[in-house]
Amino acid sequence: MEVGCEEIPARYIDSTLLQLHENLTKKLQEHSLGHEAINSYATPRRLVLATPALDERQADRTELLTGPPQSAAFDAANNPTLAARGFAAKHGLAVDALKCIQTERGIYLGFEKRITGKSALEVLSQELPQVLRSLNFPKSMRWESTQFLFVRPIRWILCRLGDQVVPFSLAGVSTGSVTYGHRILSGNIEIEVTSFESYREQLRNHKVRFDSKDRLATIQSALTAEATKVGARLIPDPRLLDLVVNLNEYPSIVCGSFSSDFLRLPREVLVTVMREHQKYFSLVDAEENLLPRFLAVVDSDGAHTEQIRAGHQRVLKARLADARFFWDVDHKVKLEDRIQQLDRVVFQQKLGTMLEKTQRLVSLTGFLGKTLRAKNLDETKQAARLCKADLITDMVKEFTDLQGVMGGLYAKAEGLPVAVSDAIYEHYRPSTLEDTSPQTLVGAILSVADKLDSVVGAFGIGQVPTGSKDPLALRRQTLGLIKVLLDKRISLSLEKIFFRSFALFRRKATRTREETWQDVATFVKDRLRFIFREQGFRYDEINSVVEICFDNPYDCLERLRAIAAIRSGADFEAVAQGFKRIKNILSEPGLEISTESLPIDPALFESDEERSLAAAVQAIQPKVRRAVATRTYARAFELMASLRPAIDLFFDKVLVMAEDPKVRANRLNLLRSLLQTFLNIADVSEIVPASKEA
Amino acid sequence: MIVRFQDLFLELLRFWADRGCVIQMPYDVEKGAGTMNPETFLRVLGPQPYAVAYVEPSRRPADGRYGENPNRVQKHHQLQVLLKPSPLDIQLVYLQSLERIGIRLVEHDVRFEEDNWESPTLGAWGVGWQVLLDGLEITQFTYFQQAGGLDLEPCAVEITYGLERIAMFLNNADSCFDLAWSPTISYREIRMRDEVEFSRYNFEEADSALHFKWFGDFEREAARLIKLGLILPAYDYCLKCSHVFNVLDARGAVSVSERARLIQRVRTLACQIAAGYVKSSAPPAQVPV
Repeated sequence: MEVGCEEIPARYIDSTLLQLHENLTKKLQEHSLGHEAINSYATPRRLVLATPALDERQADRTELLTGPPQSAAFDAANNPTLAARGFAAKHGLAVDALKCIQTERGIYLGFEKRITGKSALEVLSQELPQVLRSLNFPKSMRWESTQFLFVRPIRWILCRLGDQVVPFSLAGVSTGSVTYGHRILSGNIEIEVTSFESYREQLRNHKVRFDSKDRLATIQSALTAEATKVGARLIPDPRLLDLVVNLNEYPSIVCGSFSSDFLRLPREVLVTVMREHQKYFSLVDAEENLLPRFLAVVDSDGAHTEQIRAGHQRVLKARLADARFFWDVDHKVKLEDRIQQLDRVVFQQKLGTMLEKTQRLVSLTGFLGKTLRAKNLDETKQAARLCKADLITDMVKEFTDLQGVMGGLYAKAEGLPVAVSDAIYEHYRPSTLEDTSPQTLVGAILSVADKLDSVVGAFGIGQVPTGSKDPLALRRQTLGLIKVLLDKRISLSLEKIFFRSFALFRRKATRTREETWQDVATFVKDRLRFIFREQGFRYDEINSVVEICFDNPYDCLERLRAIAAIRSGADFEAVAQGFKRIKNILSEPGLEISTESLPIDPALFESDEERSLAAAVQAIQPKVRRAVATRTYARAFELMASLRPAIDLFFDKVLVMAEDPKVRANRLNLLRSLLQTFLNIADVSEIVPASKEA
Repeated sequence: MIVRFQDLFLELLRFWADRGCVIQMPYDVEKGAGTMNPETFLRVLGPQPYAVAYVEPSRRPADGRYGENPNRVQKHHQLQVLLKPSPLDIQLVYLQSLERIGIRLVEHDVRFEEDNWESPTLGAWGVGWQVLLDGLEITQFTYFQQAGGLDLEPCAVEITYGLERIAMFLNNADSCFDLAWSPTISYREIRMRDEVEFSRYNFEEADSALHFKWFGDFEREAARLIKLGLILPAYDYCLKCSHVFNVLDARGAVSVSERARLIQRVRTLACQIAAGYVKSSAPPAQVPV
């Protein structure tokens, strides 16, 4: 099947193909139609699904149909009753053709109905429209009288099974055997298709490369070749590459240049102008200096490169001239003098302006700086005061992606301290988990403050992200915040900085501090789990620490590392199992309360095993406390593991639920004490032993 | 080969006239885009088919550069085509129109890149592309989905050619002011003074207090006319509100909270006008005999 569309936005194509593939596979499975691999392909103008082989039809099958019970089916003379005759007639059978069948409910009159399997053609013509209907797009449209919703207008549907057209129609378009060549390079020529082979071959002849993997390979090698030709190296840009692959049906590369006068602009600006406005790749020389050249991926057969190059160069020149104008004009006003104008820039409708945000950031960075005993407090505050001023510059208004970066560059040009300009430059970082965190502590503090303020403010007015709705990118910001803390080994209490940040919203928040913190905490835990998973920790390891110490992500990470390191040892998992057992015992209803305040009484011990466990626990408690205080978690877990013999023996020889209530309570208290010794480090009962994992 | 500015739009209008479009005049109230011409904003509403093309001088006060920027002007010219319902082969017809003005498409890199249009002041949005010719945006191509807050059925397609851009492309010109408007007069001679004076006015001299007063007056008048069922006159005053707002914005006289409120006020008028237009142009209900 090939669905011919007007240009589908490049960013939707991959996810659409995935959905198509999934939906069709599911449908074929539901209908028990066997098939070979389903391949999916796409260009901006076509979505293609193909499989080399599909069962011709569903297998025939039988279904047991039952009518009246035997007792009601025949009268005393053993003649069929009205009920039996009625059932037979309903199915067009004689009563003789029915059998008495033993079922779970008793003996019933019935028969085995033979059901002929549907042909693949029938199944496909019924299900393919459903497969297309059920696609989700970030934004859909209507264009014709049936009001069908799709990403862009459908103009043809080619759909064949063997030598037959699979008949259906959708959005006013009926299926057929026809496709079209490249709209411009082959004059949109109409092509009759008889097989997948003929489809492949004719499209190739008519300048359509329908497989994006094929286009990607072509583009990649051509980019490298063109770069080499001019003695340059490509600045890799995987995101741009993914995009341009789906912006053409017949890619080729044009290498253009621009006047080296523009090289006086910062590299960040040049690369951004080329990438964001024109989707061009940038080139550097062997010393990593930016070259006044670009590579454009164009939809062309390479026959008229000169003309196309000239066109692209002219457009870029105008764009760069704009950027140079912005750069020169922006320098005329100092960042300091722009701050007041931030009262014209909205941060969030209910949370006020960027000027208000700036004031909060100054206060919040001051607090963070003191908490972390940062040396350059004045520079931290100066960076906070200036960090949003670049939003007023023409350059950032034009290229929003350069926010922060431009502020940093302008600050540097003004001769402000390097600590200040660097911090401003990097304060939006990290923008993804792959991105790097700010290099300096001042930058890290500003980055954390900026993100914290957004998250706390939004949650404070009930703007909690749901599903795909996350206009302030709070998920990304929270991930970024946590990543900075982990990367920069910053140990602090989130609750503490949350309270400080919340206080700065004063009358703006519409919810209480406690309500807000509950939601923020849950949100943070989810992001933290995600990051730890990405770092390769296992679910059970993560479960054992996140609930206990999410408040201090870096501390949480250290515990996690210690657990991951020690679990391969002989004793740890066994002890973890013991803890699980203890936890189960203590969670029996009623137990916690009756044993709550009772101390351990050595006089009540009856066996050596419990005496030695009590002694072992008592002996390590101060050591564990010291290990926690110095955050040497590996040591704490070693101490835990060292208890294995004592715990094993205890469970082997001692009956916890003794007859005598006093003895029982005493034993429970011993276990409680053991559990509590470690429970504020990690809940190791969450650890699933390797042998038990599937 | 020199392609004169006037020949460009004459040729395109001829092309669309040959395909059944009514050729209309620009609308005589200041506006930011051809879409705001009632020939588009009101005609997309309701079920009646319509096809129209016209040139629209479009005013964007904030884009003025005193005639010093070769690409940015406070008044540029859009050639607007509106087709309701949208024809099946509309992309191909559009590409033919480019061939008609002398662009040999096989020699160029032509792409339709996602660009969805939205006008908060008109309560209107659509889905479509910007058309790029060797990387230059020459056309906005939009399937209208809503106008004045109303769902559109049938959907119309709107094609907006940026005439200055296309003329510069055809003439390999680096500045729009270098274009020949007619065989004897340049774009510079016709338009430069306009750019200089209006840039000065919009950025430096416009009387903010007076404009704020006008905004209120025009708004009241539009609201009054809507109540009287005088939809077309009401729309004129709605357009005036929009332009006055644009001048205030360029003048830097609008604060953040005010900005959102002013846009909302124009949008309210636009939505009421759209509803009034649909109501008053609905065919009278059939009376059973």
